[in-house]
Amino acid sequence: MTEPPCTRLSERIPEVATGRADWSAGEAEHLSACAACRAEWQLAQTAQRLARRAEALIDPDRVADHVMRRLAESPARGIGRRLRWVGVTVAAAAAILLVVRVTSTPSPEMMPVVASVPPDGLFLRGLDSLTVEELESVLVSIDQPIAAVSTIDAYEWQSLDDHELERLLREWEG
Amino acid sequence: MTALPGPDSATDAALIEAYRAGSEPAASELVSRHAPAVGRFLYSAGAAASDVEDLAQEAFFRAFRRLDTWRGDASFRSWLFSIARNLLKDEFRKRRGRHVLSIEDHDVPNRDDPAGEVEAQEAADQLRRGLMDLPRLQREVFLLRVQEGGSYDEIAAVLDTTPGAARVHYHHAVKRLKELLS
Repeated sequence: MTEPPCTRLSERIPEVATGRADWSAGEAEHLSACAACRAEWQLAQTAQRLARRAEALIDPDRVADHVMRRLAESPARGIGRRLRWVGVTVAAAAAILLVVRVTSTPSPEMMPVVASVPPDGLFLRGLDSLTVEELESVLVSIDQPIAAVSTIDAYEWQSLDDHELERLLREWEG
Repeated sequence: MTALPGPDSATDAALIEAYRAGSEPAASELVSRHAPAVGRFLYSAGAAASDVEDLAQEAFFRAFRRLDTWRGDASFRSWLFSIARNLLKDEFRKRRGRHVLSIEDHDVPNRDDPAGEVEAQEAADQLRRGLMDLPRLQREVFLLRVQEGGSYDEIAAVLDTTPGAARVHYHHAVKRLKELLS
């Protein structure tokens, strides 16, 4: 079954409007005689004008520069998700320490000398500036049990006073 | 594979592989070749002129961040359009349905035919407003068909509909816009 000329022409309009084809002689003749098809063709041309206006609003090189910069600055998606767990893990560890401290009564003579730096890999401040490899190494250390990365043992945690514990937590949290 | 017309999608796949292997210039090339089309779509579908570049940038950023979820059954360009339309949807939601259409961002006037130029500019403004009055699917089908030359199969893949439905949406959109501009 042959399609009516208007239907055929309507289906051809996008191809011609985007410059990927030209009208055949028969189509051009139909176009000049058919007001409905001419209106549709005019509509497509107006849409192309709108497209050209849009192209003037965008600088592909600038977009590429910004995108590449953002990609370089942001960790990979998987890492970002895992980093949220770093925060949760550290917060949970801090909460456990607080509970342990509150429920225990340390003797003054057993006060340990607490390391002034947080355990390896538990820095939160400055994570944004780490490379992907560095972030991976942070994650590996976080995955280990706390005792494995801690510079003071469980006995020492329990013997911290409130001020020392608070100071330690502040240092951890930046 | 369903691909909207545009730069060679086979080359796109090669560029994506190169980017995955660590080539930044490959990613820049992908942005440069598809940014104009993404911009056309965003602006014509209702993004404010001042937001077009930022939204396009966000679309590419999301695309590269989620590249592991791109399965290659659609072209990179089609996939970008899917991301761009979702971004625009979020943008409209943020503005609580108010579309921001600026009519000050016209082309450089044609000095040879100022009257014709003014008329053409007015028609383009009118079309943009008319597009915003269409249901979202009609608007997007129309733009992907008339501005990008997509087939109904290709458009259906981008908009997650059927080719038959895309065809119906297109003809409804054309009918309504013709009435508006006549």
